[in-house]
Amino acid sequence: MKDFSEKIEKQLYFKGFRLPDIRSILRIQIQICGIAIVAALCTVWFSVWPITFAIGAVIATYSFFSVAKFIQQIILREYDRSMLWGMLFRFYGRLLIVGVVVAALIVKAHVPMMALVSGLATSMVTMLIWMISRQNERKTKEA
Amino acid sequence: MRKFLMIALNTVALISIAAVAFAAEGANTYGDLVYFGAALGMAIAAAGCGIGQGLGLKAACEGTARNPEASNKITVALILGLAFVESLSIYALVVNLMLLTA
Repeated sequence: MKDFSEKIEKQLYFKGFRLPDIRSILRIQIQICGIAIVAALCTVWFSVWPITFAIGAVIATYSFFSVAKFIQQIILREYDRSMLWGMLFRFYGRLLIVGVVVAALIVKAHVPMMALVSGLATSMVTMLIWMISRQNERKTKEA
Repeated sequence: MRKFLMIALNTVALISIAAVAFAAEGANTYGDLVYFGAALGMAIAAAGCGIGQGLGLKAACEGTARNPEASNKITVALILGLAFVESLSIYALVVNLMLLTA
């Protein structure tokens, strides 16, 4: 499990996530998303709820991944005009994709709302987990 | 501990408020007002989130300009803040779409 976490963090580093805190938050989010997908695939024959939850988790992960990448690119990289246009295009493209997918799921597919909202809330859960673990680390260091 | 409690309570409140929207399911007796309400709700959510994100970004830029050494910590806080605000706008979108399809 530790190796797997390290592998995810390595991949994130190569993707341009230079800040360790952000990498660890994203790692937790990706792990939660992966667990949700596996659980959904295992229970897809019984209910629509898990697959909707997994889709919500994937949307939350994608959204958080894009925001984190966008902000890091803004702050840490040198500007040039083409990069700026590319970043803006990707940012608004991502917003459009998330909006269209959520609208299609709710309006066309009539998925269970509570499952979708719970899946989207996984990013909040991730941040809570990260904050708690960080506080625990601090306490351990102080002790 | 107090901060953690506040965050946990806010999360619970957000999730429990979603249940109120379910109560409106099948009660579409207001005709076109529902569309108006959904559009207005999305507009308010977008405006609120935009103002929040703008304020956060402004404070982060000012902080980084004043103290460049703290830019890493500021960036982490900024990303977390923006992700929180953006998830709120996605919740608003979900609730408004629920209103439209109810």
